[in-house]
Amino acid sequence: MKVIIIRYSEIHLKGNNRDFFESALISNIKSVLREYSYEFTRSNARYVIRNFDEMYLDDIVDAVKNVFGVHSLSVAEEVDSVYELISSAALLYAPKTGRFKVSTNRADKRFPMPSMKISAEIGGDILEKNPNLTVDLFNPDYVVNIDIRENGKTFVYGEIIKAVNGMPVGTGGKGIVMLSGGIDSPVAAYMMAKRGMSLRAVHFHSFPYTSMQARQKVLDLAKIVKKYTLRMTVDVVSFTEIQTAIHENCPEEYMITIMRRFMMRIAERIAKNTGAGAVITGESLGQVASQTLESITSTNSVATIPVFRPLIGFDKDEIIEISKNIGAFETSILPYEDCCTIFLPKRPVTKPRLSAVQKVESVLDVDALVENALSNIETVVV
Amino acid sequence: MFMGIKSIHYFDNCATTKVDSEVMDIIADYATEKYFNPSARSSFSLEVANDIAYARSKIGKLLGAQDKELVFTSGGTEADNLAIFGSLRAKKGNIIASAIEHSAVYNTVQILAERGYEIRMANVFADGHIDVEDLLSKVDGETRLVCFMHISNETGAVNDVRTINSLVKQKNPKAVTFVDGVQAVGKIPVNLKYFGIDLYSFAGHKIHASKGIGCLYVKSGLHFASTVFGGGQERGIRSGTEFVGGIVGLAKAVELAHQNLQKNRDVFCAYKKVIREQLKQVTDWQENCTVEVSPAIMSLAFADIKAEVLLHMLEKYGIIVGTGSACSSKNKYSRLSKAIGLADKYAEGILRISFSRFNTLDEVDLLANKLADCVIELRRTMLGTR
Repeated sequence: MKVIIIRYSEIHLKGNNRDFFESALISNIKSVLREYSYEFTRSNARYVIRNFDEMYLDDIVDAVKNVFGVHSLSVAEEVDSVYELISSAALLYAPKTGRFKVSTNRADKRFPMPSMKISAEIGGDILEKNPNLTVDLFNPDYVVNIDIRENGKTFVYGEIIKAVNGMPVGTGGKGIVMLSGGIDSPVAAYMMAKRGMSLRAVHFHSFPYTSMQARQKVLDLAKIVKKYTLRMTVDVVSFTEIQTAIHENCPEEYMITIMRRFMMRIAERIAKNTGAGAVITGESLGQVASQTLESITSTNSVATIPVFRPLIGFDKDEIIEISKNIGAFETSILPYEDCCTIFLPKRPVTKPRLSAVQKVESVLDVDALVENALSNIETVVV
Repeated sequence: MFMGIKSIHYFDNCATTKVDSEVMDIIADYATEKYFNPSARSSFSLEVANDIAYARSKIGKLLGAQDKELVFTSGGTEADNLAIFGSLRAKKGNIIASAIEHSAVYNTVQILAERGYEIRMANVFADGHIDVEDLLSKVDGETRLVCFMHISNETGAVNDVRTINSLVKQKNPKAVTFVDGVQAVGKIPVNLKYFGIDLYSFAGHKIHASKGIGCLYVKSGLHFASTVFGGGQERGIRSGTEFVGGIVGLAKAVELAHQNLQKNRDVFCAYKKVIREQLKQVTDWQENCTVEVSPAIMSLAFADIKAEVLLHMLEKYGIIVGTGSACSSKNKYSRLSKAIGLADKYAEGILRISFSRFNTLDEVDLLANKLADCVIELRRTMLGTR
């Protein structure tokens, strides 16, 4: 019978918290597999999926591969621990050409041959059927694994499929990610989810200055991110009133700095209202005027909860690479304007002094603007 | 009621149009009653095959084409692709296209560049008309295909198809001429025989027929090799079971459009006047094309304004307009504003208003009023009051 073996990563290091991490991981795996029928069992240090429709094998492997906390997977043949059965299963997983070896792990000491001998014998069986193969114990292209277990069953498998690693989502607290529609923020969300954080997103929208297509693009990105965060809700905040108020009352060069401060305030309020403990942004040091140390200082100073910037030390190229890997890049580069590009000052301040920013901003009724924005949120579950 | 807006005032008829109820009845009839495959052997099938033939001949009469010269396609883009790929015989040579062709033509000729043809872009004037002299200067003995639009979908400029065709043929009689007539059929008189061109395309959904139906005129005697193979429908040029309701509906739509041709021209010109009058209270705008222009299209440029913002502001009143061409507005910068050399301050402010016979004077009044208001409001916000 074909089965899928799932191995998990760091969570076995967590000692007394192991149950907490494992139950999160199992529930996350089950959540990505909710559309399939299968049987799930937990055995020491791994999980096994059985009795699924083989038509969906690749889909199931793909889904589980992207669950944080999963270290690797193997598609295996599960047979009774009888030499002939093991040998014929091994043939299924053996390559046709190249260098290979057989590696055996015998947990069931009742099995009448030692590991080395099993490997040698089965290697011989494989060679006999595939004369183009050569055995290489030290530098094989391919390993056929035989895992003889104590329950009288044996797993035989070839490839070990690497998964995403990280920590199970839900074990690292909850955060609000600012999703702009660009390349960076979905990657930032991915990075935090990878460390086990549950996420909710906030998006600032400036209709009629930005289009409904731009808003849709962000929801599409949220859907892509959801593949990793497993759940995703987006709070769409109408930002037009705040932007026009800043535009009308504050010096042009401070537009972006003050805008970012408003976004931070609103994100923090949403965090507090939804039980989240951090705000996540896609900032990368020095990438644009609003991402200098001075600008970040200005934005950060309105926050009272931690602000995580997982991309702070990344080059754009590195961010793009991750964006492509998580399948967000194509959507991120669709050319709809986001709210940061309208009213764009010709020469934004790159090193705003906090005291100057506070002074410039003081002409606005900050509290009223924030309250008004919060009372008009549209919440979308993607 | 759509998206919370009670009534829609639709002025983006270059992008697509509402299906005429008479056309809709025809489509429904062929979908649910006369749904027989025209190529099957029953007498019922023959009946619908005859309906297609009748529709073809009706369109032919109205547009000056022989029945066998008309090939039904899935729309304008497919007709354009068929025209370009189907008419090329030589493996190399040059292809000329105007710089503001619709993406269905523009991007298709780019593919030919990858296959070894030389692509020569003909300039256009500031109002969107083709610079005929420039185009002719690019025609030589190696020219295989010359593509241009009958009416620019962005400015409404009407090109003199007959003259351009005969000048091209004088220089190189073997060059194939292909005209994209998507914005012209049903809007201005079209006589394909009189034009003398080799290929001409148009689409149903621009003239109140449905999406999913278009037509390619292939002049009798032109060497043409199809790129779509199958059951041999449409004289083998475009295989595939016919969208019968679409075809018969298209014939009805062309007929209705032609009944209204003269009347619409006068009405639309009056609409344009109303808008011009109302925009007198606004400074710094221009009409991008005023002579030899489609009656149905009004292309406006406003200084220091992003047309898309204006478009969204008008949405609040249920008014729908366009910016440039809907098919290319996903590209951030319009080829149009570059090609026609609009001053920078106007480049992002091109708004396109396009009329249909379903528009009313009241709607146009509303549009004109709100447009002026929105431009003033937007300028006040963008430029700031401090």
